[in-house]
Amino acid sequence: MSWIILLTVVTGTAAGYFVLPASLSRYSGRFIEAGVCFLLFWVGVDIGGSRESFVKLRQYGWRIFLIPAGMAVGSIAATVMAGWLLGYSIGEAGAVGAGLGWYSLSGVLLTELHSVRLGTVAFVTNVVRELAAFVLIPVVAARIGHLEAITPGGSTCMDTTLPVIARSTGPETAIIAFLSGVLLTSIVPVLVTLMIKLPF
Amino acid sequence: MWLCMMFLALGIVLGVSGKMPVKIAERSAGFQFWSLLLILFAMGVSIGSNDEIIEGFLSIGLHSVVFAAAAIMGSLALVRILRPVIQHKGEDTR
Repeated sequence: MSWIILLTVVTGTAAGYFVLPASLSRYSGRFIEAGVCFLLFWVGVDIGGSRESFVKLRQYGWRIFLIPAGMAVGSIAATVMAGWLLGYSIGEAGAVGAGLGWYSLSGVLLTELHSVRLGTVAFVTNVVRELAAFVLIPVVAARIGHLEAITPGGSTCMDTTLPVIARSTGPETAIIAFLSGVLLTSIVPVLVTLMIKLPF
Repeated sequence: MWLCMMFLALGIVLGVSGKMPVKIAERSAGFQFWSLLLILFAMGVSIGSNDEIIEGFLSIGLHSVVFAAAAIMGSLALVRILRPVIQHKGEDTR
């Protein structure tokens, strides 16, 4: 699955760069949104048809919030460490990690609150994160675990990467992924702003 | 993306109600696979034709790859560490 995903994205990127006209990118956004709607409808049918998933979900209770919390804290802590190696301040590196895959928002926010350069770093980092997530989710699901397969996509696990998570794991994990994605998406603007305002 | 959330909700409602014809529901995996590939191709096209991303990647690509790898590994590692607290024995998601 991962190889097919990687090959498809690389072929699309090459086609967009070398062959297809730039004006097409205006339509590709619409096409992607329509496609994600279609996909999520079917993910919803699978989730709705699996009632035992909802029952299992109740057993988790408050512990379910540890997944998005772990994703956010782990992402920020690791980017702070990577930033130290690359010569970024704690606030700058943490803000890039706090984007959690939401490239458009973190890029715009950091361009406004800090600099065009850091905005670009956040934008490209989170694009790379989303693309890498598509390839890594099936591998993580098969080799490490279903809960861990939610983590690569960050906040995108509520929409774009959700179909891959659902396909690689199952309806129960898909529900957890969706809830985690909604929570993370709602805190990304706060986290990015808080991190970039750190004085160190 | 709110429109997408509405489609997800509509799918859940149809799935719960059991009103989705079995013959169509059985093809769900196939629909998902092919439409996913189409979306991924379109995502590739929008990246390849976006100068902002390509130029950004060429100038700060290494930093972005290091940051993205760190962010993914950090998220994964912490959830893995927290797993015994999140999931008790008998809750059998892998």
